[in-house]
Amino acid sequence: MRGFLTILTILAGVVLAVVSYFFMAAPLGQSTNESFSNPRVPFAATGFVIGVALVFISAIVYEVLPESDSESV
Amino acid sequence: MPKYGMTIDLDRCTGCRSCMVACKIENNTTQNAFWMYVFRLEEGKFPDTKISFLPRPCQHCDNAPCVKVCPVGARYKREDGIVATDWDRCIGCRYCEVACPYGVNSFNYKDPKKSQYMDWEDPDIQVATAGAVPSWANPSLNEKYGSENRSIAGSNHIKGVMEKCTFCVQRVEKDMLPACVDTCPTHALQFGDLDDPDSAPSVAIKEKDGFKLLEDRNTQPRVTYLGSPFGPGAREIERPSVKD
Amino acid sequence: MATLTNIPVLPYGVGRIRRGWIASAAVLLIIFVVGVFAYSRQFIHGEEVTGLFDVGTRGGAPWGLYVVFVVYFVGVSTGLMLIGIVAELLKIGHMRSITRIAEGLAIISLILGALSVIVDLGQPLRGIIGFFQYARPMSPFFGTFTLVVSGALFASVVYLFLTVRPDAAILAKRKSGLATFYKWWASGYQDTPAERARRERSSIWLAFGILPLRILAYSTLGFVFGLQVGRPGWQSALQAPGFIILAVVSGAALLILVAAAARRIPGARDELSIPTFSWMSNVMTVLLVVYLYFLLAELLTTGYTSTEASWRVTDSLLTGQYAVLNWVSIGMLVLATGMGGWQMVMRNYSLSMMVAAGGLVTISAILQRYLIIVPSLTTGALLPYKEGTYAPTLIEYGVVVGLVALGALMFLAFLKLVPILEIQKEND
Repeated sequence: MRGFLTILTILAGVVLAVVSYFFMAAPLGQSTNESFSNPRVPFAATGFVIGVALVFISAIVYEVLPESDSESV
Repeated sequence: MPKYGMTIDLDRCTGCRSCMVACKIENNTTQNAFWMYVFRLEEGKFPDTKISFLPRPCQHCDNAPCVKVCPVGARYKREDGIVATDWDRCIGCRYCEVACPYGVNSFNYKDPKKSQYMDWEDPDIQVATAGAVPSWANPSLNEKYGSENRSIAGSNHIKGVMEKCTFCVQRVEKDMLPACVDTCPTHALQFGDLDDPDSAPSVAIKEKDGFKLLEDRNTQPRVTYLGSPFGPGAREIERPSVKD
Repeated sequence: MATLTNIPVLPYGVGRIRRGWIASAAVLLIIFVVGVFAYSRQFIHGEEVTGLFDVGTRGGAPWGLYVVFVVYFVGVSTGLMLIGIVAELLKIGHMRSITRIAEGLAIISLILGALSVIVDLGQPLRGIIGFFQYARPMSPFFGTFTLVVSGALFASVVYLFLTVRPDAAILAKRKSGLATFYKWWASGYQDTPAERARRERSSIWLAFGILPLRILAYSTLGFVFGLQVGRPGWQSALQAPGFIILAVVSGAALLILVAAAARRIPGARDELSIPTFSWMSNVMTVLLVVYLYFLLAELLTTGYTSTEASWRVTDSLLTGQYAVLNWVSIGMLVLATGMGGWQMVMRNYSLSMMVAAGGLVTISAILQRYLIIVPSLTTGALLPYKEGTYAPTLIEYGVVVGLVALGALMFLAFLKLVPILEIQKEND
């Protein structure tokens, strides 16, 4: 359970970061019109930040999650 | 969608700087800002000197370094080619200014003052202005432009934001020429749609060899200079460099 | 919060507020308030109160002291975090005692770096929201903002939280005004073998996560300058690597200074011993040599291949308006390298000598950032503009000094909340 949740947090973080960077933020490349100046989804940068943060939150999930009885390390 | 561009015929430019004045009157730029600037250059040693002039508006680059670096998309490229600054969004980091090889940006370092050069309310001055509309009262500078309705026209709105030449977007959108082009007494400046083969700049480019300013930087400017560029070691006449 | 008993319940002066502490905090607070006042002038009147001017016709530098300190603070933070993590990862015995100081300082200087960015903005309030709302990946600032300010800051806080957690569990059991705080921090840590194993494992994984993140993040700050076609003197593939090297150098230098001061903390003197300092001094010296080598490589490359404009920038550093500053700065780096090298060769380390070298490097590292940023702005024009100048005003100095004071205040608070040395092993 602990391992699963940890990996899930990391994956969620990586996916959120990658998706916000490449698909939600303003397009990459030489600007040819107004759309290059706006994020495709507002606050996409915040999504990226949260994504990176989630990757590191996984360490807290891994360590701080209360121990269950059946658990072995 | 037109593809706006400008040509500047250096052989015609007399260095009179009317364009600089016209720009200031049209856009109400602050005293230290020159959206249009005319270099008056000198090469060689006296008496073998050569004088040349180089008007320098914003180059409205297709591969604009300022657009690339703007962290919030306040500096952006319009579909018609105008590189615009949304002073409603600008956060004042001055990265565009640092990135620009041409030095065309000017930052509002202080609170704007409506009248830049004279007191329009002074009765003595009103005799001379004879009811003319002062630049700061020009309503079109506060309108919003483009498909996204953004605040990009004019200067001197608030402190802490970046401003630069807009190709007089408030005039161009009303089918008028930019103030500098309209004013140039020798027709050295031409402005129009580069996609239209009969437009003034298209014709001018066909008739005469030209160059782009700092072409090696691959900024792909929309401003084409006709005639020959200034030579190496050219220096400004009025303000010699500190080292001389 | 302070317990005013004479028996130290908590180690290393944690939770005990003494007169000396109050006096230093009061002085720092006054300096900080002066800084706030200076910034209030700028906030109200705009950046005309600074020495910043437009490039081009006005012949100034639009980026100055604030950006210098953005680069310095974030650099120090990066360097400290790298040192702390590598020491912990490689289990370098002598270095265990300074990892916590390094981590605390790393977080504080990162906060100062973020504040320096805000202070530099013409529209700071817009900036705070604008970055979150509109930040574009195309701009090198995207990396600075997301990775440095948010990612790295967050990662470092997580790292500190987890490394201090076992200590917090120990302290939570002792009767003190801070017991509740430590109980919250310990968040159920029992020091079971399973928990220890997890701590071990996650510290390694965190280190592997944070190291590349910090290097990448600080590189993006190098790219803020290195990717510009419009500013001769900045475009260099060595820009980002040089930033990283100088970051670790300046981090080590600051760590030597702070750790030397931290020897005055009761019980810390024995732990912060000469071998610990010598290790830091050696790291600093070796990387200083690398940095000086980078400077030389850069100079040779520019000397042989430069365009007229980029030579003008280099020339301003060698013989022009920045020559004095540049040679003083390089002289200080060489002197510090010599001092470090001498001690390394003689295997005889003196604390005062290492502190002196740390001081030299700290000053010089700030000057180096200034000499990277400002000359390209004032002398790097590609069109025939006149050569510009930049002189920071009192307001700018005031704001920067205020920020440093704020950092010192935060560190003083840190000392009273977190044991500066690991206490786990007392129980082992």
